[in-house]
Amino acid sequence: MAIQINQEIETINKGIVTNPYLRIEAYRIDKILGYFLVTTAMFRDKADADTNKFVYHEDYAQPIDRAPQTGPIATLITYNDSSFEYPVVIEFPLVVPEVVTEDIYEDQEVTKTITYNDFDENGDIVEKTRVETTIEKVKTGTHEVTKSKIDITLIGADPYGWAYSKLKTHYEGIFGAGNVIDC
Amino acid sequence: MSVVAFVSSNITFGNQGTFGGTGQLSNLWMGTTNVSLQTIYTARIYPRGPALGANLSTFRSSKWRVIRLNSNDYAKGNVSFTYPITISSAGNPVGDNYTFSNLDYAYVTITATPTYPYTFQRWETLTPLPAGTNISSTASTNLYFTDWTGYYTVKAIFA
Repeated sequence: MAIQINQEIETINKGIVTNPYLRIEAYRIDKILGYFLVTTAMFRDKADADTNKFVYHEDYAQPIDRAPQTGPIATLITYNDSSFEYPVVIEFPLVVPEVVTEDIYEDQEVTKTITYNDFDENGDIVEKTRVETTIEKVKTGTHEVTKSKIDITLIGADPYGWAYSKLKTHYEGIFGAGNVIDC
Repeated sequence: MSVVAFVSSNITFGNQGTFGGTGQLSNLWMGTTNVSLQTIYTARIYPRGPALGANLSTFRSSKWRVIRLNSNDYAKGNVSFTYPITISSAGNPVGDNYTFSNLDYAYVTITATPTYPYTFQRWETLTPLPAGTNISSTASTNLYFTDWTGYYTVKAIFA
């Protein structure tokens, strides 16, 4: 599962690449903030990508003995005469719109009569009152607002397929619809 | 607004590269100008400075990895990071002002670019010791977060 981009790009470390190959290298579901995060990398082609992964844990344990890897395409690329960093970490919100009713509060002056104890000239306790005006938040009504409710069930039973579908749409926004295909 | 205190003293958020220097902390609090917290959260490339490294060493030792790239002769070739972000600085070492989180990236790609007529020879270690250990003969190569435990310095050899 990966994505091929049928557009030519100019790269820093791999020259002109005619059909970049994009894969997801890590997935993370943030259940608290409601995001699906993917870490991506772009390669010259599938063969190039395949040389940048491992079969066994032991394969990367010793850096000196490790088979050389050339890494992904540098993130700074040139496409259509403009240079930019292709997105590496992408967050997809896991939310659904929900209309909720919220209270409306306004600042209002509120006058209160305060009762307090004082002493008269004989030293006896007497009850007195004073009027105080304060600013308080007062509920004046309600209104409906649309909020983004966190819902991780959006992912469904196939988180990998869901993520690639979202990634494809994201990259279509950069390279154009029809230029990003599943492979 | 509440304030969260990490420790009682020696908190220094200044000297953070491109993210606003000593004004950084107030920016994070107030969210008025140059708000970088969202930028940091999104890109997951963390600005770093000497004070940050000293004061938040727990982060550095447990989750943060710091690497620096050198050239044996900048007249013969330059060095850069090319993944997960492209960072280059012709004529200078690269990497001092950034930290990569292995929570998001398993590796970084480093790239050596020779200046004609010189050629790239190899990447070798400065630290950890022993210095001079050959890492790769490929100009563009990966360093994995499992490769180092703290400050890691490598040097590109051009001839």
